[in-house]
Amino acid sequence: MFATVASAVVEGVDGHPVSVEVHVSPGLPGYTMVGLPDASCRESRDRVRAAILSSGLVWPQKRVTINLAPSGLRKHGASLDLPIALGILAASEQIEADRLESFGAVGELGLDGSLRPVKGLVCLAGAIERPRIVVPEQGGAEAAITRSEGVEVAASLRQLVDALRGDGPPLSPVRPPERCEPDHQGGDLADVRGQPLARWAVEVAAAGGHHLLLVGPPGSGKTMLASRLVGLLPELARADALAATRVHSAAGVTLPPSGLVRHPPLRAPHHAASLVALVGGGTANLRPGEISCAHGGVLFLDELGEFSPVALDALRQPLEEGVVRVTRAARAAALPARFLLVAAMNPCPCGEGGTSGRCRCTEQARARYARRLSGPLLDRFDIRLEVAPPAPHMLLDGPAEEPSAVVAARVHRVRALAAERGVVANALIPPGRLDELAPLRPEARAVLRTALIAGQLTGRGLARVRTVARTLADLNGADDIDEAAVSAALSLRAVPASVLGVPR
Amino acid sequence: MTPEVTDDALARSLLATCHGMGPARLTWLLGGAPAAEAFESLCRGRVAGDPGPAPPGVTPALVERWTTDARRLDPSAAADALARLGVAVLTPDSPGWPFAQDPHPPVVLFARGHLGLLAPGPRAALVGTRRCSAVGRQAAYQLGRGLAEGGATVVSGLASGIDGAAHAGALAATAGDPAPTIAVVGTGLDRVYPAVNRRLWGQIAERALLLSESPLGTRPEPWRFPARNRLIAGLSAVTVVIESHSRGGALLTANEAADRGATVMAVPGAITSSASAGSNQLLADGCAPVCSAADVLHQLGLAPAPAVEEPQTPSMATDGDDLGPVARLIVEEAAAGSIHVDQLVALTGRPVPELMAELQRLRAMGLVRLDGSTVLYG
Repeated sequence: MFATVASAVVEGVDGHPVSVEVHVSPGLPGYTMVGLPDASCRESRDRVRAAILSSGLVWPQKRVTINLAPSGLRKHGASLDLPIALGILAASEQIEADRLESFGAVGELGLDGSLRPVKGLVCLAGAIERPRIVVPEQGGAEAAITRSEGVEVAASLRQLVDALRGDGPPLSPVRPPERCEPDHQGGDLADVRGQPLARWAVEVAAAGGHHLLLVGPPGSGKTMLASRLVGLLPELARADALAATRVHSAAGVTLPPSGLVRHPPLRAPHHAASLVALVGGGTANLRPGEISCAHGGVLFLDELGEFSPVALDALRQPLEEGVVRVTRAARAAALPARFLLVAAMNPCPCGEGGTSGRCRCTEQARARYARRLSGPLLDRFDIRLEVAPPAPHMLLDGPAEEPSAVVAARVHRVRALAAERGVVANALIPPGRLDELAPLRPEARAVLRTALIAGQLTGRGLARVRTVARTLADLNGADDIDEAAVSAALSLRAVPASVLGVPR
Repeated sequence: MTPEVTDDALARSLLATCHGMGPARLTWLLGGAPAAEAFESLCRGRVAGDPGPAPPGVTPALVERWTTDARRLDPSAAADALARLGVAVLTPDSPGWPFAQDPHPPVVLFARGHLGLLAPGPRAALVGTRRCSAVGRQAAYQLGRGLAEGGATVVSGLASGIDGAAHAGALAATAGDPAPTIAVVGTGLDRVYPAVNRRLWGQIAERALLLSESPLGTRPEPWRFPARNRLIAGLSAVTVVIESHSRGGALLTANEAADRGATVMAVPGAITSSASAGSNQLLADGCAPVCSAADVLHQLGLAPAPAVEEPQTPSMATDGDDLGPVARLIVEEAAAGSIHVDQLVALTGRPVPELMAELQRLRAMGLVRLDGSTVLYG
């Protein structure tokens, strides 16, 4: 009369084990569910009932009580449909309860008894503390990422019940997917012609993981550059790939065919995105935001000036820490959010402010546009680039440029050097270790001193310039940082006046 | 440093606060009588002395309103407010009154800052539209700076756009005080307008001179700005229109200057730019063109006529031997107008990292500025 089925729910990017307890007792037919289910979870009753009947099984005309333990954790979504159905069948003695002891289950049920995949299978599969788990057929590859063994798939409730009763063939286990090459994302850098500075800046940003701000008129190729950048990045390390996969799975982002997010993701939320959509959270359940989905990859904010200032300033803390802490009244979660921020904006609302004499905006409009971008956020861009449209003859007749593969090889070399220093990228070298990891030649020190005295540089800026100079020296194959590297790093940091709301 | 406000000056400033009180009405109201007397009789509901025919718009009802206004005024509070803000009140009797010869002089002037700037000297007005182009703004800044460096005082109206840039250029010319610039504004000196120029307003009050014909507390009213323009013209031997649409306040200033026999000059603009339509029309009407600060300085008698064939090449100003050929090319291109790094790569054939390092060296030497990835001279 009583059965327990192991399952799990996802919150943020973490799976939490949940034990579905079902009690069926004589009495007036009724159905009670306790243990903080939300609306979609509560609706499971009608799905489960229809699925059981469609599968040719019997819905008990008795008193059914369901408890979702631990009862303090809020349960949401339809992923508990399958364990609830199994629990009811076991408690009403249609399948043997001890058969359920060795495995857990996750899945949404259709009214016809079919099994449907749910979000966050990567996180859920790891959280179920049983040797075997059953998941919907389409989610097998996803679940196999965190569990190399014991993942079995079923297409319908009937198929699962038959296998448990021994009436049908046993369920087929899923092997971890074969490694397959990820599709190359975002086009080739060879397409970017006549913009040598932008090409170089993208290479430096990719090599050192430096946040990049692109300012330029419409049609100057900002989006094109940003989408090429992600193709230059090396594949993710195993730990980062797993973290990225968990986030994508929890957020319901389509995973690559191989299941594991190996290639750095590119996320480009629209500028109308809300604060919660960007950083994560939400009232019903804690969902990872776009910045977490960009973990390990590139977050591209096109039309930066159109984002809400509140949303933009919320990026500051994750930019510093690589983690976003989302706290709600009832719960809190730390979501991974280490990303390379690439932002693009027009110099002013009309877009022509970069070219002398072309801007049609009033001074107020320009000031209003620039005010969106707070000084502290601007300060976090190590490379501020003004993108000019390429000369027409370069587009048609210019020489062929280096393809992504060649540039990526240099980028990977610099990333490898960073890894030897114990950081993922040079941009993440902590200020305290700069003297050790990015030693300055005396001439380089003099250049920095001059820039500091001239007021070109703040304290934070100094540390950032040194990391960029480290990347430049790495690209040159130099150990120490010479004057040229520091000078070039300072030039890359020059702020376009238009961003400050001042026409040139 | 603020001189004591005399009774006459205080009475004039009180009368000026009455509703719709411009210089013509104020002159009529004074009717040649001492201001204190005029104020007292207005409080009693009469106009002092024999004012003659009333100027247009002055109806008995308006005089009635002035009487009400005047009775509400508190002379000692007004004097306190002036003293607290450090505002000096100038009248035609004040030493160094600059409008002695003016056909439409102000009756009273409020001033904050360095009154010494009103002493006779070479003054040029730089005026233009608020809706200026980026080129115009740059020209205003450079001319303001060049004139100040050349020894002239820059007079303008502290509006947004051209005016503000001209003041900013003059302020940038010197670190010492006073900075040679005078801002004639249309509001009371305690009412910052426009708000975008708040910082500039403070700097000018502190380091240069702020002037207004309007008493403290006066809000921006449309009729006060054309009246302010005549003061800008009246203070300056030369009026330069930098950018003006086909109609605009800058052209009014030019007319006021021409009426006073002052020289009107204009900066040539692109024929495609509507912001230059008015200034180009002035050139077509025969005004002298301004291509550099030297043109204006020459007109003011501060510099020899600039050589026309040789616009200043900045690399000549620096020791050319110190710079390599690439650096010299960069400086020359920047001086000829702004240039983007991409164009420098195409011109020099040098790799980007090398050029970026070179740019920083030139930046540290003060030869170029970087606006994002665009190289500017200076």
